[in-house]
Parts: sequence; structure tokens; C-alpha cells
Amino acid sequence: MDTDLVVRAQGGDQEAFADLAATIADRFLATSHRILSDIDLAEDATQQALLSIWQDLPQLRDPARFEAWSYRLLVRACYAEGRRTRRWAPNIRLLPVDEPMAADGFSSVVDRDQLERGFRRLSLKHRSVVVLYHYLDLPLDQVAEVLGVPVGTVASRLHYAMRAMRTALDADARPTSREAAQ
Amino acid sequence: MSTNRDVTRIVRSWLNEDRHEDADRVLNTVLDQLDTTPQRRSLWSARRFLAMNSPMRIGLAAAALVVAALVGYQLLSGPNIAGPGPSNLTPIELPSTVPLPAGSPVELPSAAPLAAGTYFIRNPYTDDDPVRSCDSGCADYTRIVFTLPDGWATTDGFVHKEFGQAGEVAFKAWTPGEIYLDPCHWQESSTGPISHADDSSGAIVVVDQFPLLNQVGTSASGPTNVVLGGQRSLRIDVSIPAELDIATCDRGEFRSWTEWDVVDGANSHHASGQIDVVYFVDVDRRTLFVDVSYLPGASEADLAEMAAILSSMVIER
Repeated sequence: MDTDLVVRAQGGDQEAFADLAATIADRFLATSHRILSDIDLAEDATQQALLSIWQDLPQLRDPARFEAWSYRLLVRACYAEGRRTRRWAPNIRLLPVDEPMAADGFSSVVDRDQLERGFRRLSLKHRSVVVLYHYLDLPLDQVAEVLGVPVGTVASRLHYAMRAMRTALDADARPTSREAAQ
Repeated sequence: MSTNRDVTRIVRSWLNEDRHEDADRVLNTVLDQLDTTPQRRSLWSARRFLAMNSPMRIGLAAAALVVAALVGYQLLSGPNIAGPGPSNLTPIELPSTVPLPAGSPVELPSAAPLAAGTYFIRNPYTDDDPVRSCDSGCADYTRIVFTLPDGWATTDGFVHKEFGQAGEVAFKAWTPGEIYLDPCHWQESSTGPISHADDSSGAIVVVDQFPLLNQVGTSASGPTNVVLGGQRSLRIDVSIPAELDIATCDRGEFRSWTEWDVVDGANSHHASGQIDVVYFVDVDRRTLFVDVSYLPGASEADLAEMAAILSSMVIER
């Protein structure tokens, strides 16, 4: 990250902020899309996060820590979008779908829907850990800094999330009773 | 049955698939709003006594320090914040109590001059603040209610008078993370936890070499069991030497503690000769700090107002 851009944007330089935002916007949208699993919500979260960055940037003391700080604002914006959505979203329980699976489960081609379903069952906190760690490739201590929780909590959430994904994938890959009877 | 390695590989592969996101529209929307979206200015980079050179600053601070310590201690030991202070301080005559207006509390704005009245500070971790979150257990209070006389203002959570001037008086509520053991050289400093416990009589006691009492380069007194805002508290008085040139500290900042759950957050609102009266308020989950600070040039009248404000304070759970 170009810290000179950060410093200039901190001083109110809109051109510098535009350059800075252009370097992170795609990554932000991709990250929020993965956390929220909804492109419209992700666009709203990205927009809110970028505006929060502009507003609060003067309060960042160390420009070298911009990345962790900015991802924190993005994750918070995702949480806010998630909460806002839950207020009106119908309470839908996702059930396993009876559909034929490859004989070897997901070892060859994994149905994206299975992954999507499994991921949607996770809480936003667990999804965030998975995305920050497995998509952004942040080490655990940086994930902890972004989320403002201890490293042990990150490790625990990651373990739980991946176990839940594995369970979900195994459950979806398991033959349904109808298939087993055939 | 899948293995852990399978799941990790599959999830990583799925997350890294191209999903054709295009942020141009979002970016343009944001940039269009910059003109109407003011930045929230920070205080940490503000330098005090800008008009003074260093020798003047030190001289003024040293001359006023003793008087301010005496006055401040006496005035800030009001009826609701009882407890002995440093034993070498001589009591002085107290001014009459400052009358405070009454009324329904209104939320403290982010930055503004304040009319006389009753205000409240909401726990910033329990709303939609983009920087803070109560996800992993913030200090257990809902709001801090207090009454101000005329002439006060607020900026970035500080409630203050003569802000940035030689006569500054201010207070701010903090949820602290850890205490810097060397506040001037904080970049290489270790940090200590904020830990206290109850003794057999129900009083609060500090444990583990309480770091605020043992910081390098400061003088501290206490702790004393007091009540602030209706809550059990510990009071510790910390003073920064008048001869310390804070510009020589790491990045020109004297950092006393980190701000919990805020990336790079810290209390660095300090000046040479400053005295901080730190109240550790015993709420659940995490400690709440109410940090009252004043500079050697603070007037007796302003310190009396601060004492009255503290007496009016109610910390709601």
C-alpha cells in the first residue's frame, strides 16, 4: 500500500483518496461479496466502508497500518448490512436438496451450490474469518487485528467454520434415502 | 468422507473463483459523495502550545505545576469522588460549588461548543460505530450522563475547556486495552494488563504490579477506592514531568494506553506537565476508564467546574 497516498488522503486530498480507493475497491467488493454471499449487499457494504474510510482516515495514526484498519471497516460494514438484512429477511431454513451426487462425493467437481449452501449456514463472524484467511491470505494474527478479537478466537472460529463446511459438504454428498433404495 | 485437506483446498478454490465483480459503479458513487462528506478530524496529531517555543513551554509548565497539582487534587476530590490523594499535597480553600443546570439529557455531538445542560455519552461499542464493536465483550455500561455549565465543548469524545491551550481541562471515557509501560517509547514498550480484584472487605485492589502505577517517566499516586457516577471505582493520579519534551517521544506521541478493539487506537492526548486523574470504573466484562486531565495552567474556576461535572455524573448500566 502506498503510504504517501494514505497520508495525502488523511489531509483531505480527494484526488489521493480517489487513487487509494481505486486500488482497494475491487478487492473490497470481492471480499464483501464472499462474506455476504449477495452482490447487492456487498456493493452497499463496500460503498459504506469506503465512505467510512474517507471520514475516519484522519484518525488513523500509523499509515502503515492502513490495510488492517481498512479491512476492519469493511468487515464492520458487512456486519451492518447483514444485520440490516436480517431485520426483514424471512426466516428460511436451508434443507439438504435431493439431487444426485457424483459417486466420489466432491472429489472431482464440487457443485458450487453445495459450497454456497454450506457457507450461508455459517454466521457472518465465521464467514469473515474464512474469507480473510483463505481468500485474502491474511495470517491469523492479522485476521485477529482486523476483527478485534484474540488470535485464539480466530483459530477457534476458523476450525469451527471449516468443520461445518466439511460436514455440510459430506451431508450433501451423501446419497439420499431415495438413491440408497434404488 | 472428505478430509480436512480436501475441504480446505475446495473452499480456497471456490473463494478464488472469478465472480466478475466490478466496483466502478460503487467507486464512482463514493467519489461523488466526498464533497458532502466531511472528514472527522483527529486530535492525536494536534500539537499543544503551538505558539510557544520549548523553553517557554517548560518554564510555564514547571511554574504552574505545583499550584495546579494542589488545586486540582483538592477540587477533584469532591463529595462523589472521595478518597485521599498524594500525602504531600496541602489542602487549600475550596471555592463554592458551581451551580449546574438541570434538564433531560441529550446525546453529546461529535464536535461542537456546548450549551449549558445535561448530556450523555453512549457506549460507542454498542451501536453501529464502524471502528468499534462489542462482539467480544465491551465494558458493560449503556451511557454516561453528566451536566455541564456554560463554556464547555466537545471534540472526538473529549469534553473540554481551553482545549489545546495552557489552561486545558478535559475528560473522556475510554475502554482501554492495555497500559504502555514506557509511554514515551511506546513503539518498543511492553504493555501490561488492567487487572483488579475485590479484597475481603469488598474494596477494589490492584493486582499484578498495576502498570499505570509503574510507568516509566511518570509519577503516580493511589490507588484509592472511590465512587464515580454511582459505580465503584479506583482512582489513580498520574503526572507527566514538566521537563519532558513530548516531541522527542516515539513519533512525537506520549501514549498511556491502547484503546481496546480499535486498530492503532491509543490515548495520546498528553502534554508536558499534564495531570491525569484516572478512574477505573468497575463495570462488568471490561474496565471503563474516565480520564480527567488538566494542564498546569488550568484555572481554579475551571477545575471547580470539572469537579461539579464529575459530581453530577451518572454511569448507567
